[in-house]
Amino acid sequence: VWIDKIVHSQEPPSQSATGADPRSELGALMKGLMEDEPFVSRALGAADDVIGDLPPDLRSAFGETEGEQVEQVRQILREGIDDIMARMMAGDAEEGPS
Amino acid sequence: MRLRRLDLTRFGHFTDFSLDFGVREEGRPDLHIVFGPNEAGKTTAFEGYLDLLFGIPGRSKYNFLHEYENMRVGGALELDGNPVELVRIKRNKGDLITPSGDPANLAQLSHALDGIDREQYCAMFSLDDETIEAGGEDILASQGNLGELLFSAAAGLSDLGAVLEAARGEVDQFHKARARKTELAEAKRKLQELHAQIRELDVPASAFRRLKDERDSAAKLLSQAKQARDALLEQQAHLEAAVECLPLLQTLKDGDKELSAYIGYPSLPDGAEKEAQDLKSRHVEAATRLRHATIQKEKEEQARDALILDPVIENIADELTVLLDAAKSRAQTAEEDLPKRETELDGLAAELSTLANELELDRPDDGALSETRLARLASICGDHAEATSKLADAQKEKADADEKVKSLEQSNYDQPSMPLIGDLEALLKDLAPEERLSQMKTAEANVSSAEQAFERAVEGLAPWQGDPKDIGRVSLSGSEAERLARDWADLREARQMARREVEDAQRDYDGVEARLNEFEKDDIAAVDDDVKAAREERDVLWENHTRSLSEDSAKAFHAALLRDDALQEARLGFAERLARLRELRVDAASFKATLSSRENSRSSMEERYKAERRKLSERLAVLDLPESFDPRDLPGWQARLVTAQDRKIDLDRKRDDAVEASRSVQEAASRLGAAMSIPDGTLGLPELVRKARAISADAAATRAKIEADKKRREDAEKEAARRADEVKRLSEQIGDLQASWDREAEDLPTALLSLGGFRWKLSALQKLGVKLAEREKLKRRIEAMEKDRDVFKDEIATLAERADEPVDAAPLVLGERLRRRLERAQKSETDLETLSAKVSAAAADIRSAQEDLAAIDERVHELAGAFESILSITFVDDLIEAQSQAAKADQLRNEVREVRERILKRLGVADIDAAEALLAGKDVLELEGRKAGLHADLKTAEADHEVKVGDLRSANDALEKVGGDNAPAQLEEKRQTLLLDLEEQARRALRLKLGILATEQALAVYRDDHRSKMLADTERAFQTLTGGRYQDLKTQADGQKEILLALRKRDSRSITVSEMSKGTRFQLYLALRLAGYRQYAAGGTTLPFVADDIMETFDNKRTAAALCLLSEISEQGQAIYFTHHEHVVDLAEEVCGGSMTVHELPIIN
Repeated sequence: VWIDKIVHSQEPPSQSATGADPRSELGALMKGLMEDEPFVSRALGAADDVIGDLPPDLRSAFGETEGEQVEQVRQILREGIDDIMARMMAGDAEEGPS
Repeated sequence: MRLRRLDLTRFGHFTDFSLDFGVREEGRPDLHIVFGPNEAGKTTAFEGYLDLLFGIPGRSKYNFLHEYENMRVGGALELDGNPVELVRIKRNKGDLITPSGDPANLAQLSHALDGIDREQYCAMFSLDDETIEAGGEDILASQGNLGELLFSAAAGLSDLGAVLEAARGEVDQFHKARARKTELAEAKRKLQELHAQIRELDVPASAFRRLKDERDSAAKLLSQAKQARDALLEQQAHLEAAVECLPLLQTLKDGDKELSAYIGYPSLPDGAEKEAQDLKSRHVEAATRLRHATIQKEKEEQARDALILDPVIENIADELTVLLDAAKSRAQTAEEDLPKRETELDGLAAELSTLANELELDRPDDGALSETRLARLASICGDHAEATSKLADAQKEKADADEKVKSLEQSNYDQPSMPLIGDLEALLKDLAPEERLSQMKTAEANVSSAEQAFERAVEGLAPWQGDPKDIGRVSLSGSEAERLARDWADLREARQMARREVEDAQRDYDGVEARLNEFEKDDIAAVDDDVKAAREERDVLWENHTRSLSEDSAKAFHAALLRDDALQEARLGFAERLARLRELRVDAASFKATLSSRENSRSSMEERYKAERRKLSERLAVLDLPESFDPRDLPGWQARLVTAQDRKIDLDRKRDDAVEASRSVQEAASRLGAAMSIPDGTLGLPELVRKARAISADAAATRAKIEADKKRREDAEKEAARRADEVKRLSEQIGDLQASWDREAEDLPTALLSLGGFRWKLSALQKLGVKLAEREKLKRRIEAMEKDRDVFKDEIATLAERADEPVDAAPLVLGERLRRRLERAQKSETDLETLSAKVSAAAADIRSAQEDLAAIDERVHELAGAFESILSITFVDDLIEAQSQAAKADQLRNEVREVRERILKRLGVADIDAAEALLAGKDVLELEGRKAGLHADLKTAEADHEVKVGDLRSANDALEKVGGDNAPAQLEEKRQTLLLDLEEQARRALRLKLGILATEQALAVYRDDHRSKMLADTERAFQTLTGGRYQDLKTQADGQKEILLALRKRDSRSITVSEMSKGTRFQLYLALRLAGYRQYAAGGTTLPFVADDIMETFDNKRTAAALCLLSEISEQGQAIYFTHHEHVVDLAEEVCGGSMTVHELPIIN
C-alpha cells in the first residue's frame, strides 16, 4: 500500500454548521449557558464530584483556591461544549475536505 | 387532485359500473360516504381507485371474473383543476391510456401526485384497517414523510443521542459515584502501590555494585560453559555420521554390481504397465465377443429359412378384418336377438288392446294424443279441480268469519270504564324518583370511598403528627420542599467531604512524619548537627586567631579546621540522605499546614451544619413533623401532602353532594304523598313510588284491554270482507276454465269429452301413448337386424371364394376359419422381420470384435518398440514380462541413488571419492569407542552449563530485587508520570461531563422552542377524537430515538402509544394522518383522502368526531369513506347534514 498524500483540514465546530442547521442553533444555546449563573453553579457542583475523588496531590491542579477552581471549571465547561459540538459535527467532517 | 368518477369497467366482480362523485360545489365540503353491505365491493372499489392511480399489480386478486388481459379500471380525475379521462389496463408497459386507447400523459399524473408512490399514499392518505396501524407505527418511528414532519423538532439532531450516549460511557469509565472499577480507582490503587515500593527501596550503593559484579561474572562463566558444550556436540555429530556411512558405502557398491545385469532396460513411463494389463483384458474380451456373435448368426439364419408364408390370405387381409369387426358382431347379435324381439312385439300389441278397452276406445290408435296437447288438457283439468276445491273452502271460511264478527259485536257491550290517572303519571315522570334515589345512593357511596381515600392519604404522611381536619392549613410548596431537601443534602455532602479531606490530610501528614522519624533515628541527623557545631567552632577560633595571631590560637584553629574537614568528608558521604531528610521536613511542615487549614474548614462546616439543623427543626415543627424526620424525604412527603389535601377537598365536596341528594329525595316524597292524599312521613319515597306505579299499572292494563278488543273486531270485519271477495273470484275462475276445456276438447273421441271424467283417464292415456311409441321403435329394430344378418352372409361367401376356401359352413363359422388363417400368415411375416434383424446385428458384432482385435495388436507393437534392442515381442504377455524386468531395474537404480545422496549429505562432501577418502582406514568398532568417551564429556559439560544458567538467574533476581542504579528515582518518575496522565484523563472526563450537562440543558430549551406544526395539529385532532380525554402530546428522547407521549386527563399521566387501548391508538393514528393531510394541503398538494371502514373500534361519539374532522378536511380536499355500517351513514348525516353525499353500492345476488 502506498499512501501518496494525507490532507488534514480542521476548523472550529461552530463554523461547520450553517444558520439553517439545527445543530448551529443548539450550539448557540449551549454557549449561552456560559452566562447562566444557576447553570454554572450546577456545573461547579458536578465538577466538584469528580475533583473531590481525585488523589490529594492532584486536586490543586484544578486551582489552589476556590476562586481559581471556579475559573478553571468555567474554562473546562467551555472546552466541553466545543468537544460535544465537534462530535456532533463529526458525521459531516467524514465527508472530506471541501 | 380530485376523483370525479371511478369506472370499474372490468374489475373484480364489477362490469361496467361507475361511482360518480360529481363536480365539486364551491363553499361546500367535498365529503362522500360510499355505503354497501358486506361483499358489495367496497374494498374492490377502494383497490380499483389505487390501481387507477398507480397501476394494476403483477399479481392482482381481482381477476376472478375478468382475465388479466381484459381487466380495465378508469375514471375522470381533476388534475390541476382540469378533468382528464384515464384508463388503466393490465400490461407491463404503457398501461395508462386514454378512453380511445392512446397512451396517456403519465407525467401529468405523477406531477399531480407530487411524486408520492403507492406505498407512501397507502401509508398516509389511503387507509384501511391494516395500513392505518402499520403506517401509524412507522410515523411514530420517525419513518416516512409524515414521521419526519412529526419529529421535525428533533430533525437534524438524530445523531445527538448516540453522541451523548458515547460521551456518557467515556465519563462513567473514568469516574462514577460509588463504582469501584473505574479508571480513576485503578490509577489511585497504582499510586498507592508505587508509594509503598518507594518506601521499601532504600539499598546502599555498595551492595548494589556487589550484586551487579556477581551478575556480570555469572554471565561470563555461562558463556564459556556454552562454548565448551557446543564444541563437544559438533564432535559427536561427526562421529555419528561416520558410523552411519561406513555400512552405507558397502551397500552402494553391492547395488552398482546388481544393476549391471539390467543394462539396456529402459525406464518405463507412468501408466505403461497398467496399459499393458488393460490391453490384455481387452484382447480376451474381444476374442470372446467374436466367437459368440458367429454362433448366434448361424442359429438365427437357420430359424429364418424354416418359416412358411401365405400371400393369398394377406391380399384380402384389409377387407376381411373390416368384415370380421362390426359387420360380424351385428350379424351375430341379429342371429341371437331376433326371436326375442318378435315375442316382445306380440306382448306390446296385447297391452295396447287392454288399454283401449279400459278407455272405452274402438282402436288403440284413437287414444294417440301429442304430449303438448295432453299437457294442456291435463292443466285445464287440474286447475278446474283445484279451483273447485278452493271455492268450497272459501265458502266455509266466509261463514266462519261472519259468525266471529257477530260474536265480537256482542262482547263490546261488556267494556270496562277507564280510571282517570293522567296527573299521577305526569308527576312520576316529572319527579323521576328512581333517579333521585340512585343519585342519593351514589352520593353516599362516593362519600364512603372518599373518606377511605383520605384516610389512606393521611396514613401515607407518617410520621406526621397533625390533626387530619386541619390538613388544609399545612403549607409547604413543592419548590420549598425541593430546596430544603437539596440544601440539606448539599450540606451533608459538604460536611462529609470536609471530614474526608481532614482524614486525607492527617494520613498524608502521619506518613511523612513517620518517615522523618525513621531518618532522624539514624546518624545522619547527628552528623549534620556536628558539622554545624564544628563549623561554628572553627569560625570562632578563626576570629580568635585573627585577633591574637599566637601559636596557641593557630594550633587551636588548625585542630578545629582538621575536625571540620573530617566531618565535611563524612557529611558528603551522607549528602543524598541529608537532602531527603530536608525534603521530608519541608513536606511535613507543608502537610501540617494543610491539616490545620482543613481542620479549621471542618470546624466551620460543623457550625454551619448545626445552625442549619436548628432552622430545619423549627420548620419541621411548624409542619407537625418530628425532629427525627430526614429533610431529604421532604419532596416525596410534600407530594403526598398535596394528594391528601386534594382528597380532603374531594371529601368535602362529596359530602355536600350527599346532603343535596337527600334533600331532593325528601322533596319528591312530599309531592308524591300529596298527590295520593297520603300524609307526610307516613311512607318513604320507595314505598310511595311502588304504590303510585301499581295504580298506574292497573290503569294501563284496563286501557290495553279496551284497545285489544277494538282491534280484534276490526280485524274480524276485514277478514269477512276478504273471504267474500275470494268466493267471488273463484267462481269466475271456474267459469273461465270450463270455456277453455270446451275449445280444447272439441275433436276428442266421445269417451274422453267429459271435463270431470277426463282427470281419471289421464294416467291411462299417458300409458297408452308410451306403449304406442315403444311398439313403433321395436318394429324398426327388427327390420334392421334382418338386414345385418343377410349382408354378412353374402360378403363372407365372396371373400372365401377369393381365398380358395370352400363355402361349406354357416357364415359365422366360415368367418372364424378365415380369421385364424389370416392370423397365422401375419405371425409368419412378423417372425421373418425379427429374425432378419437379429442376423444383421450378429454380423455387426463380428465386425466390431475383429476391428478391436486389430487395434489391440497394433498398440502392443507400438509399446514393444521400447525393447526392440534387447528383446523380440509379438504377444501382449511377452510385453508384460519385459515391462516387469524394466520395473525391477528402475527400483534398483532409485535405491542406489538414495544411498549415494544420504552418504554425501551426512558426511558433507561433494562426491563419493571424497567420502571414501574420509572413511579410509576407519572401522565401526573404533568409532563407537570414541563416541562413548565423547558422550561422558558432553554430559559433564551439559551439567556445568545448567549450573551456570542457574547462577546467572539468581544474580539477576538479586539485582532486580534491589531495583537498579536509580530505582527510587525511577519509581518517583513513574509516579509523577501517572499523576500527569491522571490529570489529563480527569480534565478530559470533566470536559465531557460538563459538555453533556450543557447539551442536555440546551436540548430541553430547543425542544420547547421547536414544537412541530404537525404535532400541534395532531394534538388538536386527537383532543377532538377523544372528546378531550387526552390533552397534550409531546415528544421525548428515548435513547437514540424520539417517542410520542400523550397526557391523559383522567390521571394526569403521560402514557406511551403502546399503553393506549386499540381504539384510542387508532384514533391517534387517524389524527396523525389528518394533521399530515393539513401539512400537505398547506404545501399545495391536495390528494383525495380515502378510507375503508377504519372506525370499527370507535364508539359512536368518537365516530361522530372523526366524521366531523373528515368533513373539515374535505373543505381543503376530497374525502371518501367506504363503510358497510348503516349507523356510520346515519351519524354522518347527523353530523354533516346535507354537506356530504352518500353513494350506495348495488347488492350482488
